Amino acid sequence: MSPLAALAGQYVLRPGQNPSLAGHRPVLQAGTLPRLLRGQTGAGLVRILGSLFTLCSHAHQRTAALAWNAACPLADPLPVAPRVLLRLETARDHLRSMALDWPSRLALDAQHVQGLRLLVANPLMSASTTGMNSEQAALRLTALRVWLNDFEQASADTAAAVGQASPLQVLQDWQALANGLNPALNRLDLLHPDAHEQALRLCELAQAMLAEPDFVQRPNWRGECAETGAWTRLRHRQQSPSPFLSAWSRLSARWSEVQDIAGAEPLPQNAPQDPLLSSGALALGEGSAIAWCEMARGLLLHWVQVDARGGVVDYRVLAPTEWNFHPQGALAQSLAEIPSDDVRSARCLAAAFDACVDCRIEGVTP
Amino acid sequence: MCLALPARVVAINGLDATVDLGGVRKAISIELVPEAQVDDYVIVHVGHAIGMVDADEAARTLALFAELEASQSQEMMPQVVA
Repeated sequence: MSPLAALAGQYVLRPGQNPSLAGHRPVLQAGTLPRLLRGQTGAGLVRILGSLFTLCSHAHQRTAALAWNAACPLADPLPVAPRVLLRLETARDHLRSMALDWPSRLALDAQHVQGLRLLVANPLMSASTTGMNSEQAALRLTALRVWLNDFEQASADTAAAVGQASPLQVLQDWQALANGLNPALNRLDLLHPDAHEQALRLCELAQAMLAEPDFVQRPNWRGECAETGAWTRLRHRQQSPSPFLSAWSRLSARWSEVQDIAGAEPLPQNAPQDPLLSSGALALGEGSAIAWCEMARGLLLHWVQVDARGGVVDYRVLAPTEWNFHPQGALAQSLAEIPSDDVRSARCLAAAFDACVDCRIEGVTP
Repeated sequence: MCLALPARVVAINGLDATVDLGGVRKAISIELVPEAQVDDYVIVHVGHAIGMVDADEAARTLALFAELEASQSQEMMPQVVA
């Protein structure tokens, strides 16, 4: 691995051992990003954060622009991509994850890989979203809806032969195993239907983030680990008991969300909020703000402090992977409870929690 | 990988390609960006090129990563106590 690639980091999962999870993302190490961003103004900030990250570049750009605009209310606002683009990018990230990540995460054989690779033909996969407007994005999502209908119909016709009526059916060999893995669910519930309550929670998190230098690498919410993903959206908050209890339900939440997005009513041009994927910002004080964005892997948060001359003084990025791959989190606990040679279950859990970096599994041969 | 490291395409054989990623050669698929040519820069995820960046943008991004790397090395250097 080149020194540059090493910046991305890696997680090592050790089933049945304690600690069961090790690793981190050096790029998010305390002080690293703030040093790079110090002195930047709004447009430069958005450009840099958009350039650094691969899959979630769009979400970082959105969240950075939202944070900047809230921190600098008197400056000309930075453009923020239409909300429908967040839907499009989220659906695309899910489909890409299923088609490209699941085969390697789950070490699938050639036949299963072929089943998932059918997803590569979806109309979002190769579309460049640079400069795409709301109408173009909405048309793409309509094309996705039509493609999903055709995909499911065509697949159902041949399901008996190849078992591919959906990417979930490709994984049917995994379903019993994944249903038997039930990590304790503690949803990250920073977002709240009540705006005042949500503001209180975001303020509280921002204070905790600033009090601990390593918070963005080992985050907690009110002293406890929490998890975030397609299954912890604000829109799922009222569902009690949660349908997302097993590794299988966490895996399948991605496919459900693609269908939700493709089948949703179009968003009005200037919709103040999206019922599917929340994003926004909260000014915290002079030159300071926190912004959020529900993206494919979960909740992304940015915090910024800007000085009187309009330059970044400090910046923090809190990403979903650091919640989900916390060494004391639900994934780590669940890994510790399986036998040390159960690599298959470890793979299943890793795919369910879906780190955005490489995961290596170190099982112990009995 | 979560980081968008631009990788330079150094050889193409159909939809298979070899890229140079920070001095390391890797075999990848260009199925998702079949228009890629030798010397183009692509962004790679789990062995697949998933997007292209122009040479100027690639140079800016590689400079950013070099700055990040240097910043990190600096942080990891032992502190000298007078």
